[in-house]
Formats: sequence, structure tokens, C-alpha cells
Amino acid sequence: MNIIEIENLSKTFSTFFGKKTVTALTNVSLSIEQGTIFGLLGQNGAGKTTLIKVLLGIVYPTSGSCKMFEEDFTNIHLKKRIGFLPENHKFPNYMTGKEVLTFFGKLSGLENLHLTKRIDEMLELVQMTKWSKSKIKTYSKGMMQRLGLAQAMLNNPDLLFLDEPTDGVDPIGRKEIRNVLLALKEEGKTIFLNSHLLSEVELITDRVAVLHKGKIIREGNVHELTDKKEEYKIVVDAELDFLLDAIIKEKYTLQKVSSSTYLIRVDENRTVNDFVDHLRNKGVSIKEMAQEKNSLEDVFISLVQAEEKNS
Amino acid sequence: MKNIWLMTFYTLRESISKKVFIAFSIFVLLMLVGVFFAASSNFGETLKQNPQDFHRMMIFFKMGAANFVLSFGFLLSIFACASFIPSLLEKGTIDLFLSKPISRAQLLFGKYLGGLLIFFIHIFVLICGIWLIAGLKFGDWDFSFLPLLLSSLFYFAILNAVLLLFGVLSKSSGTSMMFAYLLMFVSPLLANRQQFFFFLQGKETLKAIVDGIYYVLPKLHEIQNIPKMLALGEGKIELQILISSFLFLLVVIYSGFYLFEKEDY
Ligand SMILES: Nc1ncnc2c1ncn2[C@@H]1O[C@H](COP(=O)(O)OP(=O)(O)OP(=O)(O)O)[C@@H](O)[C@H]1O
Ligand SMILES: [Mg+2]
Repeated sequence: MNIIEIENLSKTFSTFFGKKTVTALTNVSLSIEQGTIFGLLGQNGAGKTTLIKVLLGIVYPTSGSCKMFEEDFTNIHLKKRIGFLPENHKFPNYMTGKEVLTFFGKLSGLENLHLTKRIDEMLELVQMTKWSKSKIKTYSKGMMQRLGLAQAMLNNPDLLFLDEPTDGVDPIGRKEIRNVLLALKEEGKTIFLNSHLLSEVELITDRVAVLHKGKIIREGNVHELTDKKEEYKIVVDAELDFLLDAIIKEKYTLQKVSSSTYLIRVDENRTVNDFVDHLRNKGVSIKEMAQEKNSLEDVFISLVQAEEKNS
Repeated sequence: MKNIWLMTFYTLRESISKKVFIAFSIFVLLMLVGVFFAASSNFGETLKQNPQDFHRMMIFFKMGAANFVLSFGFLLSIFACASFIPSLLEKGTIDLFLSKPISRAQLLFGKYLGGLLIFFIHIFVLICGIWLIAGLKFGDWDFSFLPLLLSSLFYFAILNAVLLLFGVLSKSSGTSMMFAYLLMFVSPLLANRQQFFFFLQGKETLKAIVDGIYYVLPKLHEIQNIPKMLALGEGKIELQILISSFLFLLVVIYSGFYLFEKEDY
């Protein structure tokens, strides 16, 4: 089932007198399946935040339609099933962490009895129990972010929108957050993620879309996008340059990376087996060998650069 | 309904944390102490010595004291409530509120009621305090003074609506305060516009414009005088005053809601 279905969505911001306009989204169509983690990538100002805001009714679309949970997205009751962590969110700084959660929990329609228990669970989950009785104004950036996440997950939402959730969080905290998100996915929850940390997105998302100046220029499975290259990295204990026979040198392209590390490029219809056999025959010991991959970052940068060239 | 009440309570909480609530309370209490001393002075004695005029004098005493405190009270409450809407509309805050299952109208209305509630709590204490002082000191338990509570609430409801509209429009508490103050100061001038028409002799269009402005704007000055007129049984209360002011209140609130509903955040 598709939890989110967006069709030809466009958004143009105009100033009060309509003189200056900014086109933030152009004909965006997307569908997101239940139980997946979706990543939206794009440069600053690409329109990522705007897309989330449209879905949540914070910004009105200029044209197009969206459905969430197979209902029209403007239905306010859908928000009971949704969690949101805005970018640079601000909580009332005179409240304590626990008070913030209590207030927003009630606003999400949670009942008192259930709420107290849920708050303690969430505080524990983001490891903020220790700080729950301190005022927000004393929080560090990462602590704010953790509390924001707790707030977003408080109503046990089926659909979670996270706008740069790990912004300002330390490496250990980031790993913990990734694990929390993966656990939510296991429970069948759907997560919509905006992030600039592509290495992180690569680790947890199922699908990604790249937004460029308001248009989706690529969408696909992370595995499809970061497909393996026909290239292997090999670490050996010898200099290969003079050791290899001419036949092998003809079949494979060899590139020296450092004294014992080489990159071997293989034709599409050939395996690397012959090469390995040859090395073993020559008495070379192979210390390490791995197929090279395009990282999401490589893919992203080349996509954006290609798009810039075209325009 | 529950959502509106939550927002009202949150607004109350906001004003307590920002210390404006406390400052307002201290002001009211100090003023009550002042009224108490005034009632204990020689002035109180003269009051007692004129039994035939007692009722009238008591009305003047209570109305005078209350209106004196209220003139500062309105200024203070504008100051106290001006930031409620702009603080809700701050980037990073409004996103959070709008992502919850609460309508925009409920959000705004809860905040509006929060302002009214803060005002009402203090004015209630002030007016009941004065009434008690008068009762205890002079044995005057006349109820005709209490409608002042209603007229003051109506007065502030109009000012708070102006704060709401300009808060939504400008997202700045400074700007909305300026407009509320402007309305307060212009009202007595317009009420007494006949006296200024002397300077406008021969300029009939200008007079008509001033007249027009008078009828469009709320009659704050007159509203505040109604309880006194009622208590003394003097003068005729024009229904036009109440109707046009109430219309103004509705139009301003509706505009605020309408603009808030349409805006991207
Ligand atoms: N309320 C608004 N009024 C006018 N223009 C806006 C508004 N919100 C966003 N924009 C414009 O829309 C475009 C997209 O902004 P958006 O915040 O969606 O980018 P983003 O992809 O989230 O960027 P970042 O990675 O920096 O968070 C930008 O050009 C921005 O200036
Ligand atoms: Mg953004």
C-alpha cells in the first residue's frame, strides 16, 4: 500500500503583492510505500522542506494533489497518525523537556494516563531522561534534536517526517537514531527523511529521490542507484607490474593505487576468476579483495552536475 | 473545544513564565492598596458626612478609582498580550503546531482567549477588590458598579482582536502594540470631535471623513463610560455605540482568522 501519493505537485511562493515569485516545487510526483524509509536528497533550497510542509498543510500547494493513508491530505485527523520533526525547531524555552512532551502529546490527542508512560519511554529511547527536568533554554543543539525526535515519535505515528534528524547529533547518537529508525521500519512504520548526510541516508533508506531546483531528477532504490562497478580493489604482497603475463594484461586493465593496492577493471561479461588464478599461480598472496561501489554521494554529485550542465 | 482550552492554558503558562503575568498582578495589588488608603483618608470621612449624596459620591469614588487604574491596566495588558500571536508564528514553532491535529482557527482562538483570560483574572480582582473596599469601609454593597467588569472586558476584547490581526499580519509584537495603542488614544479624540470641528470650519468634506472614521472605529471611550451612566441613571446610551463596536470586533477577528488560514509558513 502507498502511504503517500503525490501527483504533479507544484508550489510557487509569491510575495505580498505577487511581484517576486520563487518556484519551490515543479510537478513533483512521488509514491511512498508503507513500511519503507524514504530519503529526499537535494541541495540547499532544492525544495525538500517545502515538500514536507505541503504534505503537512503548513504550506499550500499551487497545484497538484496528494493523498496520505489513501485519503485527501487536507484531512486534519490524519495528523493523529503522523509525527514531524521540523528543521531548526523551537520549543518554548521556559518549559522543561518533560513539559514540552506533555503539552505536544496532549495536542496530538493523547490521553493523560497513556501519555505519562509514553513520555518516559520516549525520553529513555532518545536518552534524555537525565535532562527531562531541565529547562529547554539550557539544552545543547544535539539535546534539542533528541527531544524533537522524542516529540515526533510520541503519538506512535504510522508515518514519520524527519527534516534533517541527525543535525547536530554526535556520531554515537546518530548511530542510535539510525537503529531507532530501523526498528520503527520493522514495526511497519513509514519514514520520510530529508538529509544532507548521504553516507547515513545510504545506510538506512530503501528508496531515495533527488530534488533539484524543485524538480525530481532521479528516483530509485538505493541499491539500484549505488550499483556495483565492474571494478575490484585488490591488496597483494607483491609488485604486480612486472609479474603478470601479457595475456592477462590484455584482458584486464590494471591501475596502481599504492605500492600494494591495485584497481582491476573487468569487462562486463568476464569474471575476475582468471585474474585471481593467475596471481595464485605466480605465488602472489591476496590479502584483501572487494568489488568497488558507487557511493550515494558519487551518484548525487554526478546527477546534480549533469543537471547543471544541461541547463 | 479541548484543543482551544489547551492553547488558552498554554498562553496563560507563557505569560506566567515571561513574568508579565506576575508584573500585572503586582500592579493590580499595589493599586488596590492605594485605593484602600484613599478610602481611609479624610476623603473617606467627608463621604460619610454627606448622607444625602452618599450614593452618588460612592459611584464617583468607585468608578473614578477603577477607571484610573484601568487606564494603566489597558496599556499594561496590551503590552502583556502583544507577543502571544507573534511568538506562535515564529519559524520552527508554527511548523510544530500546524503538524498537530488542531485546526488553525482553534490555535488562534485559543491564543486570543488566553489574552482575554489573563486580562479578566486581573480586572476581576481589581473591580471586586474595589467593591469590597467600598463595602467594608463604607458599607456600600451596591451592585451597580460591577457592570464595569463587562464593559472593560468588551473594551479589551476589541484591543486584543487588533493585537491578533496585526500579529498575524506583521508577526511583530511592536507593530501590533502600536496599532492597539493608536486605537486607544484616538478614541477619546473622536468621541469629542465636535470640539475640534471648530478648527475645521468650512471644510465639510474633512468633517465628513472624521465622522466616518468615528463610526467605523470602535467607541472605546464611550464603552468605558456606559457603566457610570447606568449607575447614575444619567444620559442616554446609544445602541449604535455597542453595535458598531461589536461589528468592528467581529470584522477584525474574522480578518485575522482569514489571513492566518491562507498564509504559508
Ligand atoms: N515561506 C516562504 N516564502 C517564500 N519563499 C520560500 C518560503 N519557504 C521556502 N521558500 C523558498 O523555497 C525554496 C525551497 O526552500 P526549502 O526550504 O524547501 O529548501 P530545502 O531543500 O529544504 O533547503 P535546505 O537543504 O537548505 O533545508 C527556496 O528557494 C526558498 O527560498
Ligand atoms: Mg530544508
